[in-house]
Amino acid sequence: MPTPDKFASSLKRQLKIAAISLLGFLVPSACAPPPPMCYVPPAPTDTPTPFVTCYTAPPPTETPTPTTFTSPISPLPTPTPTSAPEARHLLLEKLLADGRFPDDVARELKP
Amino acid sequence: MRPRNWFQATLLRWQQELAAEGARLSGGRPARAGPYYILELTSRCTQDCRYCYNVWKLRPELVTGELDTRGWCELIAKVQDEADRQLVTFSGGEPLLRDDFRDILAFCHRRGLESILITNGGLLDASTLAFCLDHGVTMFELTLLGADAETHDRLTRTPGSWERALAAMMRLYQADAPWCGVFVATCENVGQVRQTLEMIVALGATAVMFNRFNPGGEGARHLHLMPSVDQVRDALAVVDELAATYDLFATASIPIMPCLIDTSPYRHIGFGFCAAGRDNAYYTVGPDGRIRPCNHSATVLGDLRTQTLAKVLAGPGLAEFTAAAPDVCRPCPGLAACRAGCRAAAEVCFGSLSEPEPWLRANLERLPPTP
Repeated sequence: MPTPDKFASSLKRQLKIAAISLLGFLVPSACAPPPPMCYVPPAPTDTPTPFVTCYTAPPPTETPTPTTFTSPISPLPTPTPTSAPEARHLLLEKLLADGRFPDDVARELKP
Repeated sequence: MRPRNWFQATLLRWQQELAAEGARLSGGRPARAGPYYILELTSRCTQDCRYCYNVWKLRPELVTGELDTRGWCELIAKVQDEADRQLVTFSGGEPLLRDDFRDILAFCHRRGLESILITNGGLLDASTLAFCLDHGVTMFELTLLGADAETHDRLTRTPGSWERALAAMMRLYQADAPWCGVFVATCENVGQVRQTLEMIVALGATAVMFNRFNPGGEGARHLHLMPSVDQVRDALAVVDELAATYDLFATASIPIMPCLIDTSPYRHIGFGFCAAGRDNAYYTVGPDGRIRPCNHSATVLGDLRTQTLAKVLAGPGLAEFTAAAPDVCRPCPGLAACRAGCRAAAEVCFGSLSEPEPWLRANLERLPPTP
């Protein structure tokens, strides 16, 4: 069992860690390494290839006519909310149907 | 207020949630306050379970006899008067084996006591059930060890016990009686936890208890039945899911040490720790009237036939029992709450309260480094 003094010092330490973490999150520069004071770009080694020199529009294509419609997602059955007693009753019916109980018990339980 | 670290706070929160859940399920009534008293009416039993924790299975000298009807009634009256309790729990052995069970129960009922009956169900016929319901039994506790007869009966070493247990559960269901289904998880049956609990739930249990096998008594001869940590973790996930789905009051009464399994994800399970000496203790009176810290313990605190309850509980035995802990657990900040698992199991299996209990000992390599 920690003493009150130890507990207080532990709490302080945890608060400090939390504060530091928060500051680090809010002010990234506070924890990030300092940027270089000056930047000298490296000398180009090759002529860069331009991303886009010119743009030629592709020829228009015919829009296909859909023949049938397919739903993108086959819908799942909407779950019916069941209360716990209902869920238990359904479970009992399922276990009876699956033959999980001994015969004597199942006979008594079947409606 | 004493300062608490996060570990203790978490355990305290679980306890509060458990109490709140208990109150909710009892219709808003606050759960009955402890300490509780378990009365082992007899050491005789109709089964021969390999996992049984009854200490006399290993040390027969711990039971020097069996109180007669008058002896039990006098002792019950004494506990009620001295402890000011209105609830007793009947256990054994198999309590229904006593010819005078109805006399003892009727005596309790006349004195306004409620009762909990722990039974394997084999003798809980319709007539006995009706008598119990008419005489103050407000909770029945029955064990189902598997989803098939083979699994259950192999653990009980009693052919037909699975069918008899289910027949009793069916009668409880038909009578709309409050009952708790217990699953004792061993390495042999833990894989059936879902199917077994589904059967318990379908038969109307209001609560489920998931107890990892805690060696003691006969169980001390079968340490190999202990489930692995991973098996227990997987099973807890199933219990938690079923508790949420079916609005069950689910508990894990045998300690699950947080250093072995982080139990925080299982929000629908109440986790219990050793209660000896605490407000929720369940002191256990053996068949001969001698009292122990709990039903797993072999420590005899005193004799209720000749001593007062206050004197017995104030004696050195209980203090020694509750103070004990293995060296490996001493540095742990959670020791005060966790109590290093089950001291009684360590005592029975290894002869010392200060030994790591069997499940902890089997998993020492999993413990986090000492802080």
